[in-house]
Amino acid sequence: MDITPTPNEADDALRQIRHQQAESVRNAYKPGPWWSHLVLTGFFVSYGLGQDLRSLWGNLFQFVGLLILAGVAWVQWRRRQVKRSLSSSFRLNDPAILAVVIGFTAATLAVLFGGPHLLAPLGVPFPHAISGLATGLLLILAIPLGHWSSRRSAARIESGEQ
Amino acid sequence: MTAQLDAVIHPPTRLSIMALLATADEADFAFVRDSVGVSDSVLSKHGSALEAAGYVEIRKGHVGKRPRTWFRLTPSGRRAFAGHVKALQEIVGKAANLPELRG
Repeated sequence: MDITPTPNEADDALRQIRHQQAESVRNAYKPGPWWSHLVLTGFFVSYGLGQDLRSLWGNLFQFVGLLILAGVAWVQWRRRQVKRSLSSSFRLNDPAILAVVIGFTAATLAVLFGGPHLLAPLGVPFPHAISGLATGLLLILAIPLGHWSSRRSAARIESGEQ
Repeated sequence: MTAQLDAVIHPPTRLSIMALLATADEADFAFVRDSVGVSDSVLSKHGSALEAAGYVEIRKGHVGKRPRTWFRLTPSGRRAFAGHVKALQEIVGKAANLPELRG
């Protein structure tokens, strides 16, 4: 049986593919619940306090931080089981999105690891905890970036750019 | 080399399923069903046909006590889909280059 479509049918099929993929990318993006960002901020601050205090309290804060992290990992694993996951080739084949992701990750790591070295010589108390708080706030700022990258990917797919 | 149309993924529903899965590492049954807009039985039927062709891997498991099914494209499924899309593009491209169709 010959399945060769006419050019119009082929064009319709390609449009259907692009529409399906754009919808899929749009629907696949679901930001985590608002409290997950607070929990992660709590981890960074708690772990930072543990570094700053260096006492029994410090150990306790670090332990709480690790407990929070384990809880977040478990919740993420559960969510991974019920959600669809976007292919990394679709996430990262846009140079603009890639640049923003790399830039933002670098900035976050710089604040997390470089912040205490910058704050401590200035005599700022709790430099690790403050850097942890700043890191948590940066992650909250990343929420609109997730929406933006999802919308951009969908638009690129529908226009045939991707 | 001319790309080949694939009879297994040519029907519109299967093409939609393959297109959706091409964007995903893995997608659950409900997401595919709702996105493609088909019933459970239609998705099961086409999913099984794609699995039999070696294009889709179907994984069954549980989340809590609820049974779930996940779909993912196999490497040969990705190749077949890419080849099918390329063949469609070639058909459209050839038509666009015909002098009588050019503006």
